Amino acid sequence: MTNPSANHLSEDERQCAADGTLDAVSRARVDAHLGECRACAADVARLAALMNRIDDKRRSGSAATLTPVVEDLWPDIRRQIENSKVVALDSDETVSAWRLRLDPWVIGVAASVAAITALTVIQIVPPIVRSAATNAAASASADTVFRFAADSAESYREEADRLLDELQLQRARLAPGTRAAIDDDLKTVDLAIAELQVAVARDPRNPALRAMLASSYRQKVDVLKKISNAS
Amino acid sequence: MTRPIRFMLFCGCLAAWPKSAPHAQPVPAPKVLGARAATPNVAVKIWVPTGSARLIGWDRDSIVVRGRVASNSHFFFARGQDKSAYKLGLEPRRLGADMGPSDLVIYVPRRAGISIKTVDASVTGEGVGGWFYTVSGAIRLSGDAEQVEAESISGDVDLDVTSMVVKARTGRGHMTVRGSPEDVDASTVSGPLDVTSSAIQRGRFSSVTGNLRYEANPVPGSIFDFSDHAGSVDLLLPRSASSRLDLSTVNGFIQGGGPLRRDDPNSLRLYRPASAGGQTLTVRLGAGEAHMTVRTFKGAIRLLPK
Repeated sequence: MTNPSANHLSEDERQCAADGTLDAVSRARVDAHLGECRACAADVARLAALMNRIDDKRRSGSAATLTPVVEDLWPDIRRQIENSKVVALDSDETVSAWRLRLDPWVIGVAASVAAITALTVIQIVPPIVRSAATNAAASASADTVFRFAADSAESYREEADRLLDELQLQRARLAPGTRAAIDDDLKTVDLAIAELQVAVARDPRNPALRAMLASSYRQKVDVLKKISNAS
Repeated sequence: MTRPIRFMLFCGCLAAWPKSAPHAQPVPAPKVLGARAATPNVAVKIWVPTGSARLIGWDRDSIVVRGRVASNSHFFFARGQDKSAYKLGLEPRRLGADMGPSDLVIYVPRRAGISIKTVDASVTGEGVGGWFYTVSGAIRLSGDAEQVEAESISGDVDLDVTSMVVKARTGRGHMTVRGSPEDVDASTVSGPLDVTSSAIQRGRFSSVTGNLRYEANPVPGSIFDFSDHAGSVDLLLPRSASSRLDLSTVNGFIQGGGPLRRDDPNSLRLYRPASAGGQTLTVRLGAGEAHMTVRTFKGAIRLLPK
């Protein structure tokens, strides 16, 4: 597993040599190399010293004392992570248009989920069961349904808010081709939602329409989730 | 040239034609890039941006990676705290540099939990489960897996698995669900979605503009939900099918093929529409043991004989 280009030990082999987890065959080869190569030997010694320091800290003190040591070891990595948090966003105009376009959606989701849940429950419960139920039971059931609908709407809204917050940063980090593909998908879903909203406005008591609208919103949430996975 | 001479020439050519590789040399296995011991249910995170990744589940407690790495890429294989977690894949030799396509073949314990991400690399999995994600590459999974989640933005997804739970998403890619999955949730945005598995117990299939096609025999007691905005939904069912079908469309149409003929005594029975609203139809086929709900906004719903 040596690096053929530089003829040095691989990172893996150096790590294993430092913590003593090489198998017998590899150990002989790696030891031979370390005897000849000053660079690899120095690196393995540095790693071994580092592990000893961490072990010493772990043995002598609490986790709190260990943390600063580990933090100090990675200044370059920390700097890289911090730098990567700042990425070029679209112009303000685009960002605000994006948010404006999605804000009614969040409201729409909350309203439609509440309506769908209520209508679905009304459709599912057989009339004979409903007529046999007492008024008190019906009242309690209505409360439960309302609470369920409200909870669902609230969780849906929170999910959408979370995705929208992530979207601003993560969408900007996507490769242009990926962003175009996702934008295409969002446009397709938005068109479907717009058509369904018009149909629901004309026929608000149609449960099939409400179910399709919910399905389209679900598709949109799925597409938005892809953004965080793609970045 | 006279006919006998032409015939003799033809025979001569045939005799001289080389036979197809009489002793084909076996293709050598790709170079081993890394091998580690692992627990049976090891978690493996894999990153292969471009090229291909083939994952094979095997009955050994180890991970072996073979393959060809592009000259401008570096293969890494790092262990977590212990043998229960590994991270492997490819990274550029220089930070920010482009990477050429590399091809990896990764052997993992059958019960390993895979989490693989690619940009345009194709992913093939045989007997492995977990999370498979690609931006534009194709995903093709087969064999037994406890749980499968496959997601692509624009690539094709082909699932031929025996699994308890399958979740799959693609945008414009073509999705195919085969094999023996039990609980399936699959959707596309504009790509077609074909289902040919007769083992599904719970199935939810949806698309916005892609066409859905179900060609199988639903299991008694199974429940299906098909939803499509502008694409068509085709149900190709055998005459022996036993299912209740609730079909509804707003601006599309419902079309019944052979199974809906009233005059055929062996045919599937046609029931009256569930509502007078026009494009809503409830059909019972046989004993009606499965339940399939189909909704479209403006796509056609077609019920056809298999």
